[in-house]
Amino acid sequence: MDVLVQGALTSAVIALVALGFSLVYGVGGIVNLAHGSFFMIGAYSAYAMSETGAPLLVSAVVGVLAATLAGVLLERLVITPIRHQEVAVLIATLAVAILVQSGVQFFYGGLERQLPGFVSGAVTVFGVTLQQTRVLAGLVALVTIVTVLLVLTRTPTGRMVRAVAQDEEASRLIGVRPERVTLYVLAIGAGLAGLAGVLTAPYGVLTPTMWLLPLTQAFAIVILGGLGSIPGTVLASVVVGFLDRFVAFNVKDGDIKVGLVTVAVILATLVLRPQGFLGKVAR
Amino acid sequence: MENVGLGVVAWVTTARGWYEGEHMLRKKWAVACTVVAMSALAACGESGGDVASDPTTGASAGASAAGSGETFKIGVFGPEQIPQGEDVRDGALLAAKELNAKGEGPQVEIVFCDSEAKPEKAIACITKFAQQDKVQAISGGFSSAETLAILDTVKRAKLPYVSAGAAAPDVVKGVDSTGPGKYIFRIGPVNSLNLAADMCLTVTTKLTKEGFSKFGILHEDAAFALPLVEFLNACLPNPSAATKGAIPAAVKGVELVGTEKHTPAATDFSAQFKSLKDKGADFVIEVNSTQVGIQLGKQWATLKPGFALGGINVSGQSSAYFDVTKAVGELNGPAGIVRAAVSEKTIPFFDAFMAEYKRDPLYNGAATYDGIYALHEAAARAGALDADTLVTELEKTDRVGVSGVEKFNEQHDVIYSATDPKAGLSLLYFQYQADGSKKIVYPESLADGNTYQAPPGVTLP
Repeated sequence: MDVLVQGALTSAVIALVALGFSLVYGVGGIVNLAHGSFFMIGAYSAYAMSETGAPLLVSAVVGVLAATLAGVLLERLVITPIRHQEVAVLIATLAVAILVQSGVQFFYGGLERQLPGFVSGAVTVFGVTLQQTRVLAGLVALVTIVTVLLVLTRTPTGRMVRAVAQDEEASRLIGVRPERVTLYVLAIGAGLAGLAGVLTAPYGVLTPTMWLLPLTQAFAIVILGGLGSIPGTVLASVVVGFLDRFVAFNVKDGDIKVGLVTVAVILATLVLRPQGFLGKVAR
Repeated sequence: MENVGLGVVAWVTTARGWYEGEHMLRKKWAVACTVVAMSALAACGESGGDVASDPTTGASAGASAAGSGETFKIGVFGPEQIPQGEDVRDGALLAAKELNAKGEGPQVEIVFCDSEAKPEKAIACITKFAQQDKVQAISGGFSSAETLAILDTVKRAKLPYVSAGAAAPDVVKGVDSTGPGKYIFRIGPVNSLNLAADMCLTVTTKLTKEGFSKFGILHEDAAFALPLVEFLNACLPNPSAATKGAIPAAVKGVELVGTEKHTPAATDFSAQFKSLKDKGADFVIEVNSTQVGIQLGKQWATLKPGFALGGINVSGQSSAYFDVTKAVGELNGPAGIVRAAVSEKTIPFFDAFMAEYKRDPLYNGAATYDGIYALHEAAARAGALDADTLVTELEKTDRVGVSGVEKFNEQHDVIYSATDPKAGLSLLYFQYQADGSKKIVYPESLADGNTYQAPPGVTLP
């Protein structure tokens, strides 16, 4: 039961970051190596606001908005001018990530910081005692993911996004502006990553290098799920999240080994199914 | 490690796809994955850094008389970004300020170098001290990983080094008065095997009296912790044999139900808590030295897993720890320090540190402070600043420091004494009270009547 409950919570938070990464690739064909920076910007912005004495909810909203704004700025100032030079986009977004890391290091130093919890204490869920702040993070992440999926599948906006993802040129013929859609998707993806950063900040730690793990996790999940596949991304997040907790709870010194086991399973899956869970085989 | 692994997976995956002919789609991902893998490697500190190959001998720079008009230049290094490193720096600066104000012996100049908690950076610091700064001695250091990494460089530089943060036994391995390691001393903390012996003694003679009978261990995967935990695993069930009779045969062993490990970056301990609780632990011995201790204490206090917690938690010594964790009842020792009359210098040091920096010092702030004093006293006694003379005088150290009497054994390691406070450093255990104050509960001679109280959620027989 521990694995089920904790796996669900872990998966939801991982998916929140991976979803934005996958959306941006699916729609814009952009591999955004600054995606993990949005996670960090969200967490640090919320922390900075809370340090001024602002209420936590306000701090959280500011964190998400700051990440969203960072996404917009990245798209407008960095990606748009070099949009069709794929390697340049990679290098530029990596440079932005390092720039953000250096900025955080400059203003806050390397000292680990923590955002106060929105809730405190413990709660028992299906017989498993958990920190309330972790449960809250998982629930908010889950609701957000479901909302995003509903928007993508049930609304005109979602159809527009999917149209661009399927065929950019064809979408122009029906009046969709792919550049505008890419901007929206990047902003939303950044906001989702920022939200993940805000939600995990009370039980994680804030450091200038905290952007790298979410980025590499998102990267692996998107490949595992199938490039550009939103359902695949969600499925891969669930697999990675549950695997993480399964190893932690069932393997001796699982906390130490969880990364290696996860990597081994991902490798094995990809050797047997290179296109990932729900990706299409290129012809 | 995980970052590297994921990056490698991503690269391998894409490389295969590329090989199969999906050029346009996969080319971009191959480049991206390569970049991410390289970033992961860089972030994990696997890259070389700006390490100079071989330091010049720094000793010659210090070959001068140490009069009251001389300047004694001491290099101090530590990871400035974390409290443990800040305390290394500030402990040294406080000592220098006090010594210079007194005006006796040589004036002290501290040259600080940020080691960023990376062994390669720490080595670069030592090289810089020797080649560029021309210091006459070195002190500080925090983690055993960075301290162990610098030892060869220190030997080549031939500069006296008073280690003040690392507990790994190997810091003084092979050190004696004549060999190449003669420049290396450790003034604090006591080495981790002695810390383990003291913990073993406390568990078997004190905590059993409180009613605890089944113990578990939860430790950080760190250089200082591994030999300590290995020793505990041998000592707790059979204390007299493991300590070769130092703990009397009459002291019975305890049941050790399990040992769990976590990474220094862990943020979730629920799996380890469950494992140890399921095995019946009523007291879990923690061993950690980095910021990870904050998360551990916070989760223990929040989840109330049903066992008591105590041991080495360096973050648990800081002023801000309780505000974040509310870890009422957590026991912290034996590597901690508390504002109490442990020695005649403990309270004055705490008050001076608090006045200067507005926070309590950690153990290594006190150790570095003492290290600077010990070096200065050696220089003043010798009337010289050359390395060999300083080493000879350091060996004669017999002083009262913040944590007690400081003497070095033949391996230049600070001497620990569980029973005689005049024979060496004695260790203490404090417990967090409901109001956040820290009260020494062991040994009784320092406890001032305070006794161990069961933490909330823990019922003792």
